[in-house]
Amino acid sequence: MNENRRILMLSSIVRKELLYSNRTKIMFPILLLFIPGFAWGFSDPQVVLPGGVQPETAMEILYYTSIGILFSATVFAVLHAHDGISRERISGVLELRLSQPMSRSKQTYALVFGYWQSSFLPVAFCSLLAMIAMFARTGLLPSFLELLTFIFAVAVLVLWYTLLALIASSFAKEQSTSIAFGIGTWFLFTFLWALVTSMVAFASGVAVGQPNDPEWVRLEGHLDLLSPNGVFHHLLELCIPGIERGVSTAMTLLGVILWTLLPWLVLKRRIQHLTL
Amino acid sequence: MLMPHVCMGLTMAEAHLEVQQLHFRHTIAGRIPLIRKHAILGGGVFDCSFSIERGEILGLVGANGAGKTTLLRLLAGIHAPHKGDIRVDGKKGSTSQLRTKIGHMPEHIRWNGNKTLQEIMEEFCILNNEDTTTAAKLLELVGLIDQHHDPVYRLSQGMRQRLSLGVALIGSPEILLLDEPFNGLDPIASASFQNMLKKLASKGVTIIISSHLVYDLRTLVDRIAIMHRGQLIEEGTMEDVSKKLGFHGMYEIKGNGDVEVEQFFEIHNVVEHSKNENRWTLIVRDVTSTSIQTMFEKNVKVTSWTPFEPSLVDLLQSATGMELDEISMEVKPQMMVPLRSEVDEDE
Repeated sequence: MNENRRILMLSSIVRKELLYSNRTKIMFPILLLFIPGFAWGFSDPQVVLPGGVQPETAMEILYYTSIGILFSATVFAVLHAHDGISRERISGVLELRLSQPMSRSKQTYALVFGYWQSSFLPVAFCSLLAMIAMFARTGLLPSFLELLTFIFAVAVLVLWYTLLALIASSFAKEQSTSIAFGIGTWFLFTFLWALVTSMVAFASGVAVGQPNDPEWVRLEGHLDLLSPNGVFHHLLELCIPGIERGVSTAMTLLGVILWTLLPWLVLKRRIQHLTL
Repeated sequence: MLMPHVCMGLTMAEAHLEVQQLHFRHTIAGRIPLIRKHAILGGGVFDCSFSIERGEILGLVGANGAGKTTLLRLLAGIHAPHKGDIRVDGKKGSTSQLRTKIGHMPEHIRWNGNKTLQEIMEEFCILNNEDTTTAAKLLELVGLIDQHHDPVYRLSQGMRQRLSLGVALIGSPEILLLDEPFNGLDPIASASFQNMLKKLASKGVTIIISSHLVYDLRTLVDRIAIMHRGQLIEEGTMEDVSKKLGFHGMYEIKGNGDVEVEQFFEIHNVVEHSKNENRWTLIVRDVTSTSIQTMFEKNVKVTSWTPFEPSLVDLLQSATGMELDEISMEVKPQMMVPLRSEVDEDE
């Protein structure tokens, strides 16, 4: 059997197990609430956001809906993958797995791909529902390029959190450590990043939280490259004209590549040197 | 005692699996990434050399923490040895090549989740690059075909052990490593498991079984190897090892009645004795028909006299010259330091 086919088959086993798991059953209503629910809300013609902003295009509605994705899809990925390695280490199945002829790096591909699919597919389904909700209320649909960018951004965001959670799981020898690391990372990038940005701005002598101050906007834009959520928003902003945060398309794409490659290489190395 | 750097048992040409001066130590704490010299190393396997012929069954015995599991993990390609060679059919290969020839059944796999037995077997078939249709055949071989659609959480401990064996047999391994395979098995399952292993050995599968239950192994294995503090301290057939450790010719005499056991000291060379209410036991060396006859003449009620079966504790105490508490329960950190001198150890 071809190696790639074997990787796909193994990942489909992980996907199948997780898609029908209790975690998915518990999290799916939350995804529905946060993704199509946000899209429904932001599609309201009467909606006025802070600062008097009113979303007018399909991509703008999806951009605001992405807040719901940051709150739900990322934690969904973390909850799926936080014990991806530690659970099998505790049960002894990991020992059996590592003694199999398939190389550890190929097993890592299968693991990551399986966990990523199990989180991404429900999120993608909810994103599709979000677009249907948006169309039902406003008659707007994203262009093909906007749709592609949106789906790509969601896919890489879920991948980054899956990788981070699996790295945490590779270090953990019991469940609580991997949960703490996974949820802690999610909390840092989702809630605390604004604080980090403010502290850096304060230390740099930039006025904090002034949306009209170009220095603040530029600093925030650059610091966002250090956060997966920030890179996700930079990606979406590529399709929204008029947003200038001092970060070029090349820098955004470089951010995507680095946020994908670095955790991937760390995880691969961790699994290659994993001891029981 | 096994001499270092010497392969026991068989010549190199005959050996199916050959281990030479294998050395591995676990990192226990203080590891600073990229700066290996700051790692604090713990127990492991030290200077381990042995060889096994095709179709032979080797019993690896030792107390908890002796290094049995670590040695099996090294052979299974899970840990990479720090020093030494593992050769199969005289050829040294990488850990990944080793994994294609070896089936490993780790100790205590707690199979859980909703996956069915069939799904688990198929998954491991894929990892082994084996046709998934072999899953059903192997489930039949280990007696789990009727449960193949059951979720794994429903299995009893014995069934879980059999599933682990089934997984280890995927890919028709030439060498089978079994870590405490009899744990949790009832006597019937254990006997049937042993029969299965004998059949596999007769088909040319080389088997290494780790256990702390010497008694369970004696009818199964061709040879035993005693491990202590990460070293192989004795190795050979059960009889050879018993002879080397001074158990050959020892008998266990049991009887009942209110007698002073000290009176037997004149008749026998008594090594050990015990008395519990009306029952007494003597461990004696060099029993003769005359000595037993003398006991009968004194109207002593002897119920049995059988060759003495040394337990793991007896073997270890004899092989190490240490007391029971030293061997197991009061292990001090310095006892993890290998007995033999280590050359070029990077710590």
